[in-house]
Amino acid sequence: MMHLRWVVLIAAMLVIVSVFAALVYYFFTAKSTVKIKNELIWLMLALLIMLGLFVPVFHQGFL
Amino acid sequence: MNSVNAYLTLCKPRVVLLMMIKAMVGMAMSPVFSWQIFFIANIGIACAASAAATLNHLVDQHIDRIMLRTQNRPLVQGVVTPSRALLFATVLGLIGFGLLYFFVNTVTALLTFCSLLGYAVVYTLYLKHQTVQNIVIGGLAGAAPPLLGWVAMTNHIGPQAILLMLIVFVWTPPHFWSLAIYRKTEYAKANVPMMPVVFGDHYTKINIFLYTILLTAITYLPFAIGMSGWLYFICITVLNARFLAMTFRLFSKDIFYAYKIFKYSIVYLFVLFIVLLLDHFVI
Repeated sequence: MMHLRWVVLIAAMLVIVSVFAALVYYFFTAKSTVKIKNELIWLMLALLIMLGLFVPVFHQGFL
Repeated sequence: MNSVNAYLTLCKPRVVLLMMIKAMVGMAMSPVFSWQIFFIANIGIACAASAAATLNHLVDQHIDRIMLRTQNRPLVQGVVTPSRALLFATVLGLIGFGLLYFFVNTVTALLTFCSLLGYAVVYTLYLKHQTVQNIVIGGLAGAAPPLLGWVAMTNHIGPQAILLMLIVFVWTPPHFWSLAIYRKTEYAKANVPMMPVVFGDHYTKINIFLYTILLTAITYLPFAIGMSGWLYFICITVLNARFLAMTFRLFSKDIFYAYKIFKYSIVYLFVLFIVLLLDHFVI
């Protein structure tokens, strides 16, 4: 049970990092009607908020 | 529409009920529990959420006039005047804050007040018209109730409470973007920069799918950090499999399928919380 929890924790971490990378990658492939630079800043802010929420959760998980 | 109904509509009762359910889950999952705090905190949070909803009606009047879904709202119909709505929101906000501050704890009162401002001012007044990430960043206020519930009971912000908040936060984009695909024309008419309006349907579908993968990973964290057990693990696997399959299928489907995903996402969150509680109390 303990081992499985660790596996799930590490797998979740890898998936989260991959999805973050994919969100940024697909952002640059998108065609938009607005200023792309402004939207990139907003996207980064959204990811930063999520990262800020992940830190205490993973900290708890790895304790 | 009579005035009692009009004021009730201003409060967005269904949204407030969902907020209260989320807060109740946070309360029930916390290590300490008091029925007195449970009742007072829920009334306080409901008052604050109703105040935020009323302010949202007030600020969005010009958009509500354009969109078919919101044309019957009390302020658009003239049943309630803007000054009365503002007074109503202020009174509700003060009652909510007062209840939480004097009978629950300062942290809950301040966090609830920040959520109210976050939704009614930061999201409705600014973010909504500024960026396609509006519902992602603005979703922070909507995701706060489980945290508020937890803090009401414990008087501190724990990682488990943040995880509950995170689940709602990451659930919000696939939920709203599915609706945005379905109502794209209306959003475009109202000049609201929702993702399908600005970046098109295909890019939105990619984002919906990616956020669903993210949600899948996050929903396993309660199991990984020892907050829940096997019942939750098995149920969430089933729920996630269906959500992932639906969002993947969306690439080849029309806007009606997007609406189907929107409806499923509500069931998904509701069942997730029920299973979380069942796992916590029964197993």
